[in-house]
Amino acid sequence: MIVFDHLSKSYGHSDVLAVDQLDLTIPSGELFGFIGPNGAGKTTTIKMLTGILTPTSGDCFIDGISIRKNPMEAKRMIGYVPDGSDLFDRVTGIEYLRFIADMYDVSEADFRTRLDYYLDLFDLKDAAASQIRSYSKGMRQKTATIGALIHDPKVFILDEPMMGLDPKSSYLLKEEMKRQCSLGKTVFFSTHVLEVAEKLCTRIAIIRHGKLAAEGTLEELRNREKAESLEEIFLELTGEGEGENE
Amino acid sequence: MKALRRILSLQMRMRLRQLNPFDRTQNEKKSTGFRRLIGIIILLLMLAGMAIFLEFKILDALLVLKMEKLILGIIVFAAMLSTLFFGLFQCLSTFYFAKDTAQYAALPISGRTLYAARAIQVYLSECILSLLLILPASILLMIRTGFDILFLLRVILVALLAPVLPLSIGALLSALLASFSGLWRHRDAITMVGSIVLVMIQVVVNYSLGQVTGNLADDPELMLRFLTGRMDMIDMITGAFPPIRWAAHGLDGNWGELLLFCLVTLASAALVIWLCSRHYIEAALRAEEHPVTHHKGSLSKTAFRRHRPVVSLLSREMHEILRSPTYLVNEIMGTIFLPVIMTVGMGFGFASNFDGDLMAALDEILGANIGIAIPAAILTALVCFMAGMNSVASTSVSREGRHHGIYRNLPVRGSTCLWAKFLSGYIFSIIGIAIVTIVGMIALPKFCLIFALTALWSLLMCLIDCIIGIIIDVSRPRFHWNTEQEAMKQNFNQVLTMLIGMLIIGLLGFLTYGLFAWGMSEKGYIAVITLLLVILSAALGVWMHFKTSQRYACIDG
Repeated sequence: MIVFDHLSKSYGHSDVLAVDQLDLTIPSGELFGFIGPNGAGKTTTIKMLTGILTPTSGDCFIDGISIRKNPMEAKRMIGYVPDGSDLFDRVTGIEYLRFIADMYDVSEADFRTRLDYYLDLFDLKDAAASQIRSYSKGMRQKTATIGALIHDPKVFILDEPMMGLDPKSSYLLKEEMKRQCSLGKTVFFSTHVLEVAEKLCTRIAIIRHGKLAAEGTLEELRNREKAESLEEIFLELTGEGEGENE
Repeated sequence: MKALRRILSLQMRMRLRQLNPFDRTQNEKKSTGFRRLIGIIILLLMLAGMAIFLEFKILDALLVLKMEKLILGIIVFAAMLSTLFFGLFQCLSTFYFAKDTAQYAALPISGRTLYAARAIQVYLSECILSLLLILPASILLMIRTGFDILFLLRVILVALLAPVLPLSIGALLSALLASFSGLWRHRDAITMVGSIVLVMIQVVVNYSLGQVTGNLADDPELMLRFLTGRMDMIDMITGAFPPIRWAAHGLDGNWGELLLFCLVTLASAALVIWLCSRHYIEAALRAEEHPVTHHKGSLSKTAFRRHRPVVSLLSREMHEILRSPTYLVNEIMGTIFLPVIMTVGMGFGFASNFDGDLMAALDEILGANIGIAIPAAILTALVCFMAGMNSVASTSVSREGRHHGIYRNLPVRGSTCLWAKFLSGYIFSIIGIAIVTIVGMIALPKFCLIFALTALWSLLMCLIDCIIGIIIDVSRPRFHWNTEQEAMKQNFNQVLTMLIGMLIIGLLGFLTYGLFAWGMSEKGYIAVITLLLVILSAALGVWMHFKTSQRYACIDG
């Protein structure tokens, strides 16, 4: 379960809040979509949730464990696929994944089993022995995804996961997200692709200027905003012509 | 400990692959690896050769004076001072400006583990300098005076531990700077100003420590005391900083002081890691945070002004340099600070030692009435030796890093991009030369002509250096880097450019000797050298404009 408790963040003593008093609870077994226009605060929220950024105020809890007070324990439960997938360049895919597994204390047997499964799933077996610097953007994204899943995390967090993936890999990733969800894990992801959120998510939150604009199932949002598609709801709640950079 | 071992192993693997000349991309030929290997071997031999030659000469002089043990103090002093000088920016860059901090931050790794791993990484990269300075002199001393195997063991121990204390100081200073700048909204500007202040403090400290040895020659009574053995020689040279004395005495066989040196060194490292690693990840990530500002209708008119592509590209290059503390400080250190300090310091030194008569000083040294050309040539060589450290030009392509594709995609000629890169580096050289000339003319007004000629030759030499730097960087760009320090200071292309610059200076030196030996007049000599530099600059400029730009347009990032 993920809980955001009055979470706020301002960068570098700025008076502008990138995230403003965010309150959300996401139970286990949910596939939660986090959407919003550019610069709305999605990546900042995810970075605070994964312990990369320290909140200015408020806290995030993973299964009741505070990321601020017990970051190590909380991080052990998270698998995170960052936006852009900036990975270590001069290591091979397999070395990178073994390194990540070591950080999470994954046994050799578990590592082998999961590695075989995910390398097969994402069709990376042939490339695993090559250095990451020779990988395409999609291959990097897939390697980062395997890295996030190699320790079988309770909470799977993805920042714009479909970026750079080909249709097949995108489909496979969506299936994997659903599978994680069916295993009782929490999947939390941000996306700009509203169709993906519409088809995949059990619940959706829309964020604007760092504040929660709406939250609920697609049905609840439709009823509340009296709109048919998620696109209409999104445009209604965020307004047109938003274009600030995140 | 397991996490520390794994991070270290990953870091070492990446570093070794970076250094491995045969670790090539798909587009490179195998012969490129061999050429790179040969280049690295030549460079290492040259650096080692220079150090050994210098130490050999010092040892020879000390053996005549029967003060050979003084070399022990000198080499430890040199190793620690050099590490302090180069280590500060290595610390700042590795600890607070590494691009992979966010990757580590998402993993269950404590700040202490990550800090310790990075500290070891910094130590290993700086250790080479210490080994290079301490080992050759010690081995020479052992050959000349017959020391035993225990001496060699002590040498290795001191050489390995010598960089620790200066790096601890560097790490502490960089942590203070990062924490202080974190308190302010314009942290980049604060970091930059802070770095420049630290450089100036370092230069002052280095200069005042350097005076310890300088005083020896200046003060006849001190020299007498040395010769009559009434003062411990090593104490004299190392008195400024006790750990140097302990290390030097330790090398000389005093096990107690060697143990003291080891303990103090290791304790300093442990203390610094303990102090600086608290909240380390937050501090390191804070350096990457940028304030969000919502300007509404406050854009200045200049933001809309149209520029020619070369001006826009130059402006982008300059913004990149001026907004990055690592780039800016590395650049102004080599192209502005060092030439100014060296030439002005040297000028004042001569002036004070020879009652302000620089010409008399040079006449005395060179043994003839020499005019303005020779002093100007010497001064130009010195200015250009330092200005050869112009790392902006010689790393301008490598610094594009992962964003090289953006340049490839621009609808402008490769030559336009390269001229913008050239100008961004050359501007710093011009500033350095202008300051040297103005300060020189004010401090020594009698020698305006010398400084004017120096300025002209330096401008031409630096132009050549900058173009060579770009040609080299285009031929072997290093796009995969993790810290800005790696992109700039630890870029082999910069060293290669510096070496070629030194080679040209050396060749011009030989030519100078030949022309005067041949009986050429001073005016003739000035004309020949100027013409030669102009022709070389033009030829290299044409080469860069046509040949190098074609190559630049085909680089795969």
